[in-house]
Amino acid sequence: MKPKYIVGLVVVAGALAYLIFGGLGQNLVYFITPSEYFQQVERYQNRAVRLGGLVKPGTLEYNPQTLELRFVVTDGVKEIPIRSSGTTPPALFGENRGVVVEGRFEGETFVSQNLLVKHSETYQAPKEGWTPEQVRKLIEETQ
Amino acid sequence: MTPGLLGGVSLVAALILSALGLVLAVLAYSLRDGRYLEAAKRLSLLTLLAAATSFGALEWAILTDDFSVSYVANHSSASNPLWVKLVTPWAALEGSILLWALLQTAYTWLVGLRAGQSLDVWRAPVALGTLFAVQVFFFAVMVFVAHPFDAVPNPPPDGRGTNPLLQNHWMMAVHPVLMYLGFVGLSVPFAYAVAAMVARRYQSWIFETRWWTLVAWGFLTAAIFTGKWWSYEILGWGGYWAWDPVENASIIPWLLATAFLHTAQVQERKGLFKGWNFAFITLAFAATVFGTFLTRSGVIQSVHAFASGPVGAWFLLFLLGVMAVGLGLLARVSSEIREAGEVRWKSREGALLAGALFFGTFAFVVVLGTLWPLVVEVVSGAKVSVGAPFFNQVSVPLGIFMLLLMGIGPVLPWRNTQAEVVRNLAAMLVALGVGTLLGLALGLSLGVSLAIGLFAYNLTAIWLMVAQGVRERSRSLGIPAGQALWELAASHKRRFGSHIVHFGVALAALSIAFSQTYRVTEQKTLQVGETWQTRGLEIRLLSIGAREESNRFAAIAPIEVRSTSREGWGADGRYETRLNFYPQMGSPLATPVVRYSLYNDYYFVLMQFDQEKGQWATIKLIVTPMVWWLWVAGLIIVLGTLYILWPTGARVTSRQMSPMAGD
Repeated sequence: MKPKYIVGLVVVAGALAYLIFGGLGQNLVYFITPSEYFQQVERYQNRAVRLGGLVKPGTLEYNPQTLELRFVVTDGVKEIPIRSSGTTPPALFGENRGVVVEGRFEGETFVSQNLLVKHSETYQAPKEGWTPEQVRKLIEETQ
Repeated sequence: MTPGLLGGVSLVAALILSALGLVLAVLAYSLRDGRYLEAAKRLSLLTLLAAATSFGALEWAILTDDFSVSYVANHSSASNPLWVKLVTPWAALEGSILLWALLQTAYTWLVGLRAGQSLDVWRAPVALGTLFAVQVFFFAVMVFVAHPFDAVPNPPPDGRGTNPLLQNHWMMAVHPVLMYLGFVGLSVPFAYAVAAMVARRYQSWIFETRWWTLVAWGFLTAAIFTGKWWSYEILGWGGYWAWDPVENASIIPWLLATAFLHTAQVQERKGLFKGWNFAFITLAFAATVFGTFLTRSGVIQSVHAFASGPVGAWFLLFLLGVMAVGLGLLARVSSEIREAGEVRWKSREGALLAGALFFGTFAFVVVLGTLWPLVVEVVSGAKVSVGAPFFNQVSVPLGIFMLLLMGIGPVLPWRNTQAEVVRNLAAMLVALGVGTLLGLALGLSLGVSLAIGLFAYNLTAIWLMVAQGVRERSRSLGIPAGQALWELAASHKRRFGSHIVHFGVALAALSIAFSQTYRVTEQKTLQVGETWQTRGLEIRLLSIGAREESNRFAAIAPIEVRSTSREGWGADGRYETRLNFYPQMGSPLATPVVRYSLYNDYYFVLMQFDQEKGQWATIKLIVTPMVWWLWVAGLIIVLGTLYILWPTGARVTSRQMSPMAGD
């Protein structure tokens, strides 16, 4: 092979590697529970996060006119306030039910862009007293 | 005889027949005895009949609501409408594998028909043996781990029902079958490649294999576009591609098969790139198994993993087996297929190889992005997912390069570049520049402007090539241009077909650029009778009602839409937005209403409604430009493929025989 082809190949491979690994680094979405968030608060600021937990009873506020939804998720140990605007709560969403939110942390509050509840016939809501392990399972299984 | 018994027995029969076929093929190869080959060919028909009987038994059980059969009890319901029952075999894992195996036996039988003719007697036993081995795998999976006909001791009065996402749109009757036809179709080129490497006949396999690959590719393309359309019409988010693992599973083999289709032309014509061709086709088939492994094993959670089961490990082993056979053989013969000459990059062959390498790279990037969560989990223990932005970010530059190459490649001659080619390239670059500047002048984003430029560039390339051929023919034969075009299109089907396909791809790219950049989503809660003014539309909520249907219950909120400015042009009408409630699903399924038009698509989704008093409903509006053209582009690509494949009697065979005619 001629040297100029090798140089070209190296340039193309370098550009590609930059594109792939730079892109992967920026676009990873971390799946975490509230407890895990408080272990590494800095790490999860300003990046895409998928957070799961139980909607804490008595914290749910929804205004159907402005479509603003506020609630607190908990994994039984730690709690995080969630704000979501422009989304409608899905039908299975409610207090004491599991929920997974996708969005970003803005300071103390988590701003949700997408709100998911598990759609499954076999899904059994855990009894009172959620644990971070159950929440983790919920996050991984909810689509 | 019950359907369960018939199905189970015929499955075991198909497994035994496939194993027998494999043994006969091995004997035919090692003893060089044509009688064994003949017997293996006959067996392939028997296996097809056994598989068809088994599939028929499953349909029989579903249609007669026989809930003593496990598959029917788990995935069907007596209240399903007839069409849903007919498509239920491929609504879940076990039935899907049965359909896959059935199609596999059909392909094996078709290959058997070629044995001894275009598939010579040295390669035929190996090709048939490979396909029988693949069949042994699928029937063994069904008999041992994913048996559709397990007996249910106490049959329930009704089944658990079919996945609502699947029964919500008729496209589900078509899309999975097309996908399997494509996936399974790639086993044939793989078998031909294995046969070529085992029999050490490195050139003759390529002609027919290209044809088989194009058949599978056509099905895969149709499947991908129908899948996009299904996703657009059903999932209610206004998009058509989310880089979900199962979508990636369909695009990876498609990309690798596309790479093969391009390098195969060079081997046909010049005998180059034999190694690339063996590698691409092995990887393309392996990618179909990889995709099934990914989506069925639950390794990576996906919306499509409706049917995860214990088959993951089996598919992983099979994947490793396919890779080991294909790449192992390639390593063994690599010294014998070393290239005779140096590749000239500035020629057709160079452009074709560069294009194929881009497709291969793209496939690699998609594999990497899909598997990256596993890597991160193994290394750091964190659970992550790779978002769609990653894939979008990477596919834009790769897509631009591919569109550039797609224009240049066919214009470049096989030999070195000439002055005329330089003139053509200059014209294409002018079109690229003018198109891009026009887009920018209209105030469009850089990406979309570039897409317009690339569309103009590719259109110019096709125009120049067709016009040149027509001009030469009409001048030399003294016939009118129209007649010359007609004759050229009929005699150079591959060339014209590829122009059609390339045009479709350019149109698809344009549509994707517009729709991804200018999609707008809005949402509002309306009181009954209230009017919502937005985006040049007046949307009035008329009422909220309910309807009972055989397999579901629907909440219906009719809306009336009037366009008030040019922006909302074409949206006028009355639409029934609805939420479907299926008994087996806890939450309702939104069913979007889509108003297609040549420019904007208007998409209305009923998100939520006042369940107590029926006073209000939340409506989501999504306006996306040019999506309609994506479906048109898909149709053009499939029609172009069909045009190339369409048999025209003697000409096809003579063209296949002569490597010089391939163009």
